[in-house]
Amino acid sequence: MAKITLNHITKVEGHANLSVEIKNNKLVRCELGSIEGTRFFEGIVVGRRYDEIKEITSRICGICSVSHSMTSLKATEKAFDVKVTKQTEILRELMSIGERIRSHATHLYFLVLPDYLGFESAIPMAKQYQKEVFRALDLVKIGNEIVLKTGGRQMHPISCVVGGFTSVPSKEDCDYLLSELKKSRKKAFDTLELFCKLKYPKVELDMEQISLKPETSQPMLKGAIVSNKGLNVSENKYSDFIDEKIESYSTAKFAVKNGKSYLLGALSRVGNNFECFAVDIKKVISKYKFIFPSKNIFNQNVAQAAELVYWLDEAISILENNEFELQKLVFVSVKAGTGRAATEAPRGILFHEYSFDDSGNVTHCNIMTPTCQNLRGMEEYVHAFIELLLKKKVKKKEIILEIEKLIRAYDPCFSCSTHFLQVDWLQK
Amino acid sequence: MKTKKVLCFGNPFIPIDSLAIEIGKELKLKGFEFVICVSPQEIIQHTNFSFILDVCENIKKVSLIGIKDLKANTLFTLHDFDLNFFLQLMKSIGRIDEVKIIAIPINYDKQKAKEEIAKILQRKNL
Repeated sequence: MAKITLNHITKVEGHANLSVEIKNNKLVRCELGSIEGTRFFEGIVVGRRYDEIKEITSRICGICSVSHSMTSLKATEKAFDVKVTKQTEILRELMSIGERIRSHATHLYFLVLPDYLGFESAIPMAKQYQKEVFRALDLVKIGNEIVLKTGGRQMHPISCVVGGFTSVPSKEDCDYLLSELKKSRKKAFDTLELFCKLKYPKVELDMEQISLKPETSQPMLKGAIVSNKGLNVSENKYSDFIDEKIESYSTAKFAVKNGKSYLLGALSRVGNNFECFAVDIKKVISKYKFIFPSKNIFNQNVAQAAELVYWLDEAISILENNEFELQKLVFVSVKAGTGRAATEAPRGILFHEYSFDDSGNVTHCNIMTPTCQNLRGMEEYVHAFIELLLKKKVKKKEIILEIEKLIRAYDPCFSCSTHFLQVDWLQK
Repeated sequence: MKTKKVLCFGNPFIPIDSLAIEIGKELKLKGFEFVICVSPQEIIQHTNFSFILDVCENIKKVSLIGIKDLKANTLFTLHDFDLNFFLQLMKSIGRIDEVKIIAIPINYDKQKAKEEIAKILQRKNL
């Protein structure tokens, strides 16, 4: 029996752990777990006033701080029956678009692309692919600027509060964003073309793909929870079908639906809402013969690139059709109750749920991040992929590289705070 | 005299990572503008900066270092992107030249750091 342990294969601190055991060229164990320290956010907010919650939960993740802020505000407002104005809804969507653009551009260009162009990272890639890196930085920059102008900061936005906004982007801000977004449109389309041209491995799993579905647009902050297997429920009912399980090898919980894994993220969103894409996006996708819904997780890269174009266009449309003025915050009449909210964070549906007492203090909190919900499915995908590669007699070193690609296609955000990945490889 | 921009990075809520930001807010030096940055990505927004101020492990006094002195990480999730990544990337594509990084030891005395930083910034040959 030979025991092979690969520590820190990514040369970063390993907070997630993949344990693989192979016997006679057959995979007998594959465990993917997060080993990060527990962060107690759900406990930290208990006892806090309703208007402090967003500020605290935003800190769950720097990458998805807008998503956590929006979901937190939505859940809080639902608990108190606060109906925000149309302008507030639009500004919240615009801010979320900024986050989506920067997150997808960063993920696609700096995590995914080097894998397919044969570079260890984006830094050596940059010398040879300057045009692509410039494009990526410009897209990230416009995403950052949208969040900054709408939220007051690039991360952990401060202008959005329960009941509305404490400041809104000026006419000059909007004109600037609009002009930059129009310049970025071709860059987004070039991104879609680029990611359609890459050759992806084929590994298909028939997993339930869950996303929000707002009917007339791609999902962001609202919509029923739907799946490719017939699920169609309100966000209030999320806890009726999702269970959280604990495994001894992971401090992060595993979410399952009726005992089975499911998939969240761009692949599910695009699959469940494909008809809402504009014709020009569909044309590019069809030109490269991609079909959505897709069961291949690697096609999530194409789905993200398509979303990049879609949301950039939506931001242009918002800015062309709206002028913003500072409005009075909607009055909050505090009462005991519970609010549940679901939004689409870049990596999939994010749930926040709070119960309040009659003074508006939190008595209970439940937060389910997309990566926690995707963890079980990710483990199954890795399992299936390793089996496929073992059948093809692929060498261990290459298998690990391919697993890395798969994990990157999933675009995990390990409990929104950690690094990835340590692989323990046990071969008998 | 043209004002030189000093980008100050850190996390204001984490004591061991907040010193550069605190100093950036407090230090007043003629000819220098201190810009507070709380996310590594903010560097994309700036091209015409002269210095970076940040805290650094494994040094004993305020030191002037270059990009080449930084150790690169391999990236796996969006949380792995650090200032070093964006500096290396922007240098690779020629968006910035060699950057002078003023590194402050973790948990260093703030007053002492301010004096040493001022001394470095006011060197004539920089």
